[in-house]
Amino acid sequence: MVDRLAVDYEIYVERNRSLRRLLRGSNRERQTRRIHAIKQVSMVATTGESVGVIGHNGSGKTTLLRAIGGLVPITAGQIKVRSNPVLLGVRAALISDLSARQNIFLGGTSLRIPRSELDARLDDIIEFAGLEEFVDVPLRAFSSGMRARLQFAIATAVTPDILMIDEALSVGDAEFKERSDARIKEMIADAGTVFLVSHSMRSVLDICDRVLWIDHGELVADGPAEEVVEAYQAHVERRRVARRKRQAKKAAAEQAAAEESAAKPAPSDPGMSPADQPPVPPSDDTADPPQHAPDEPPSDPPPATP
Amino acid sequence: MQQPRLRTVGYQGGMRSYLAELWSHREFAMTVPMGQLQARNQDKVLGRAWYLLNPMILVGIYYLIFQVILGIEERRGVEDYLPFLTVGVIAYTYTRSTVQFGSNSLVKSRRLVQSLSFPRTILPLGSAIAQTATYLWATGAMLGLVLLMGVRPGWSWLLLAPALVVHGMMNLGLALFAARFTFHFADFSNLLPFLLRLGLYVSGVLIPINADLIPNDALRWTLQINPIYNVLEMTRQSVLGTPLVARTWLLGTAWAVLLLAGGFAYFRRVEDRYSSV
Repeated sequence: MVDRLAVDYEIYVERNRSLRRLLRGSNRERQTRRIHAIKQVSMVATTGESVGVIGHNGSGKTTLLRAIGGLVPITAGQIKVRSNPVLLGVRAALISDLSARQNIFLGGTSLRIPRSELDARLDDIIEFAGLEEFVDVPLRAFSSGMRARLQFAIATAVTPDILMIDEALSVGDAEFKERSDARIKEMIADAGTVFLVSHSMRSVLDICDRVLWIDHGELVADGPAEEVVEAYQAHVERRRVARRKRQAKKAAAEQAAAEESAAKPAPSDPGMSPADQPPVPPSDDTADPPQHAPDEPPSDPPPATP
Repeated sequence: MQQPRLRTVGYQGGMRSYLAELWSHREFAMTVPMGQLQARNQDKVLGRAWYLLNPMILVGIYYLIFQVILGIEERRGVEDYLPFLTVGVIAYTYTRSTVQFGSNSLVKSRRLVQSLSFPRTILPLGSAIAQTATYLWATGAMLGLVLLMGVRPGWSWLLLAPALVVHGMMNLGLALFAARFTFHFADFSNLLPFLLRLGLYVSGVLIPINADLIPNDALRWTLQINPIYNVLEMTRQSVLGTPLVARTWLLGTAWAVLLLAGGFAYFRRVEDRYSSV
C-alpha cells in the first residue's frame, strides 16, 4: 500500500561534498536544488496482482519502485508492505570481482535465504540463468544480459512475495524472456505481487493486468492494462505529432538548413538511475515508440499523419 | 479474504527491531566480508600472507630505528623491547585496518547499498569481522614470535580472549564512526591515514608511556586514558605476562562499551540516507 507518497531529492549543484565546501558553506547556504521526484502518489496492490508502471524517462517510475523497496528516504506519506519487496534493477547488485557462484551466495544471503538452501539450489539457479559454463568466472567478464539473467535467477530462487522488476529483463534474450515470463506468471498465480517498469508496451501487456502511468512524479492513470497503455500511447502520439508540426514549421522557415535541423534525434536513454535523473523538459519525450521498437528516428521526414 | 499484516517500509522501529533485522541477515553479514577478502587477494601471489607480513616488516623497521639506532633499552630502562614492540604493532594493526576498511565499506559496496535494503551496519560490521578473522591468524603468529623471543607461555595467555573481545568491540565502534564520517565528507578518507598514524604514536605502540620517557604527569596521565593504549596494554599484559593492572582492564572495557554504543547510535541515525552513497 502506498499512501500519499512523496519523495524529494536534494540535488547538490556541486556533486561532491567536501570539507572545503563545508568550511566555506558554513556561513553561506549550500547550493541545493529540490527535485520532487514523486508527488502525492497513492495506490494499493494486492496479492496475485501484476502492476505495470509506465511513463517517460525521468517520470519517477524507478524512484517509486526504490521507495517501495525502502531504498530512498521518503519525504512524506507512507508505504506499507506485507513482506520485504525484492527489487531487480538494471544496475546489478553484484560484485564484479567475484565469481557467479560467490555472487549467488552474496545475493541469496542478502535476501535472507539460508546458505544451506542456496547450496542445495545452486545447480537450479545456475541452470535457470543458463550459466553452467561460467559458474567460476568473475562477473566482470559477463555481458549485461548474463548479469540480468543471474540476478533474476537469484531473486526468484525462493519465490518472493513482492517482486519489482525495473527494466532488468530488457537486456535478456528472447529465450530467457520466455522462461522469466513463465516464472513471473507462476509467482502471480501463487498470490505474489509483481511490479514491472518497462518501456516495452508489449511486455507490460504480456505480464500485467493493471498499469500505472506516471508523469512528472504524478499518477496520471491507474487501471486495466489495455486502457492505460492505449491512453499513454495516444498521449505519446499526440506529443510526437506536435513535435513534428513544430519541426515542419521550422523546416519551412529555414528550408536550406532543413537537413541540419533534422539530424538531431532525441536521445533514447533507458537505464535511468535516480541519482542522475534530470528534470525532463516537457518537449523532450524520449519514451520508446510503442509496439514498433526499432522505429525510424522521430525526426525523419514526417509520414502522412492525420 | 484474510487481512494480511502490513508493516511500514524502512527501519523506523526501535533498537530491538533493528537488532532483529540484523540477526536475520547474519549469514549475509558473514558472506560480505569473506567475499571482499577473497576479491582483494586473488591477484596477489602471497595473498593472505600479506596480512601477517605487513606488521612483521613494520616491527623490523621500528626495531631498527628505536633499538639498533637509538638504543631505547639502554637509555630508558625499557626491558624486552622486541616482544613489547611486536605485540603493540600487531595489535595496533588490527585497529588500524578495521577502521580503515570500515570507513570505506559504504563506498566500496555502493552497488549493494543502492540496490538492496539491509541494515547498513552490516558493512562496517563486515569489515570488522574480516579483520578479526585476520587478527586471529596474526595472534597465532604473534604468540609464536614472542616464544622465539624468549617469552614464557603462562596462564595469562587465557586473558587474551577477553582482551580480544574488548578490542573487537572498540574497533567496531571506531569503524562505525569512521564510516559515517566518510559518508558525509569524502575527504575524511584522506585525513584518516594521518589520524591513524597519530594514534600509533600516542597509544604507546612504539614506546612505553612511563615516567622515564614522559616525565610530565598531566601529559602522561592524559595519554594513559587513551582507549587504544589501554586495549594494547591489556593485550601486552596477557601475552607477555607482565603484572596485570586493574585500571587498564576497567578503563579499556569501559571505553569499548562506550565507543561501540556511541558508534552504533551515531551510524544508525542516518540509516535511510546511506542508499544515496
